[in-house]
Amino acid sequence: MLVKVRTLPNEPQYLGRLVPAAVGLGGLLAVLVGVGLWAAAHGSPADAAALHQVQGLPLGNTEAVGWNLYRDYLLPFEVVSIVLLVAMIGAIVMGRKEKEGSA
Amino acid sequence: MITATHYLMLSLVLFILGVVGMVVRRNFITVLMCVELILNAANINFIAFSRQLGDLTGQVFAVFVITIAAAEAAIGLGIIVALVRLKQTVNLDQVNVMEG
Repeated sequence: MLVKVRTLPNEPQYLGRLVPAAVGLGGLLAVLVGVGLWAAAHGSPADAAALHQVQGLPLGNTEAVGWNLYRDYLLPFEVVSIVLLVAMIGAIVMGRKEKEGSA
Repeated sequence: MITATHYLMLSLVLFILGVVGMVVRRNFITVLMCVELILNAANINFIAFSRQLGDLTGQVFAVFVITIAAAEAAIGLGIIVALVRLKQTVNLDQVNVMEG
């Protein structure tokens, strides 16, 4: 085990009596996803065309988002990169195994 | 035709699931997953309104929200590791060192 937990108490199994409801909801979700896929395959392609014409630019959606991200939001992008770096260093420091000598 | 209202309903359901899970559950990892649910509900709102208004800003902000969610998950899992070292549990009821 990763963090050497030996005495983790057994959690009560909440799902026990909810299994039929979970199966029903899962089946409903599967049906909904199937209907959505069928509609996407057989419906009108107007939505896709609208997505490709964002802000009047004749670009693909990904390309338009990329332009927007790196041109208009360059400073927030860099700030977020600093936030990610700090979070990563913090997670490493918190998860590091402490030596016996140092406090 | 799927309108913005459908997306908003889905987002509402996700948000309520996240809030209820955060309040009800006692497992720290489950609470973290509920925070992710809430953030993704906000993401769906951003994308839905971006599509509705034909404005790309919402999609760009969804990227930012995903990034902040990644940072939050890293910090949360680090806290879990430290907590398990300290208390040998992830049950939030047993974490009462800050109770007055």
